[in-house]
Amino acid sequence: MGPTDEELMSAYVAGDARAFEKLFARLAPRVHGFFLRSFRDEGVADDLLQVTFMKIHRARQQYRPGLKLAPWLFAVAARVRLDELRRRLRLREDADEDAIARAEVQDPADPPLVAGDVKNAVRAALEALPESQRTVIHLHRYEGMTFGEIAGVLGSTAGAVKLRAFRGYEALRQRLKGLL
Amino acid sequence: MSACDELRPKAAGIAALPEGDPERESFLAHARGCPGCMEALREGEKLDAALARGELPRPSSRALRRASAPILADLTPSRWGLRALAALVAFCETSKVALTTAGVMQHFAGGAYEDAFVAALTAAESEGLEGELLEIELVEGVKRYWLNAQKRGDDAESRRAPPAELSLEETERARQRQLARDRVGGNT
Repeated sequence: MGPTDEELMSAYVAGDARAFEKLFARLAPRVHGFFLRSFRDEGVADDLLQVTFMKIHRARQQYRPGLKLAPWLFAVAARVRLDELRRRLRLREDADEDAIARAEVQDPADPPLVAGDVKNAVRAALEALPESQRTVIHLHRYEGMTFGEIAGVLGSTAGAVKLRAFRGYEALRQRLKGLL
Repeated sequence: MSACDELRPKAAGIAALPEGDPERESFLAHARGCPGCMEALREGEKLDAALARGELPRPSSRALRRASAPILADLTPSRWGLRALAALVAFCETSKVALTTAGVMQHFAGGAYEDAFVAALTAAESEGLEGELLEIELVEGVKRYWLNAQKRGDDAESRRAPPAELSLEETERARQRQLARDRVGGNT
């Protein structure tokens, strides 16, 4: 078994370039996936991946050894996401998750499901969710975070996060009913 | 509104909770006696399995390179970067004109080190370094550079006049290092 993410992070903070390379190989696809799920645009995800790792690099001395790395890292990514959403939705600098969820414009109805094409149907159903639900479901289902951890990452409460996730899961169940 | 009307919209979320979660167990206890809620829970479990198909594609190697390259460059400063700094120090020492950012950049324009200075200025700007703060950082940088060259025994660099900002202790240590080095090299 190789070093843990936390061990690699500590070595990277101490200036070990190889530790950074290993850590980056593990985490960059996950951070990229977070942005791709949120913004549904590969170019935007590429840009925000770069911004996030530059912020992590500048803030690396603030990482406390022993602290679980993923929530710390995704908290940085979540602030980058929030800045981008505020810019896109033309919201004030202090607009929080709730303000963003309220300001979101619902996408028009997504295309009808094609039987047998489960992969595309799942992807389309996820993409049709409001961004705030999509992000919470991504962190819960694909990053394996608890609602408490997600709340810490997004600066929200566990109750609000759970409510958003449950609404999202129910919308997916309804949307994919014919394929399940 | 019945208990089932309240519970069923939660079924997909409940199914996403880990085995043994108290909320899941409580739902199951109810669903064992309620076929409609059990069906909703089973659908939720199928949804959970289907979501495994919603994995995203990996980022391109170009995107990965773009995000990691500046950090790797920062973690592994090259000799080229040190040579650029040495050239800057030499220019500042010998320049007869007032030292300004524009003047320095004009001197190095088109040369091998121009990119290094552009990168340094960009970094200073993105770090919010300007005016006095930038001057302090530069003075500190030159001091560290000279001390490192002196520790390495980089003769050409360390025999330059030491920066005026060295503390008495640093000056004394540097003097002793040079003395020891001269003796080892048979220069006494």
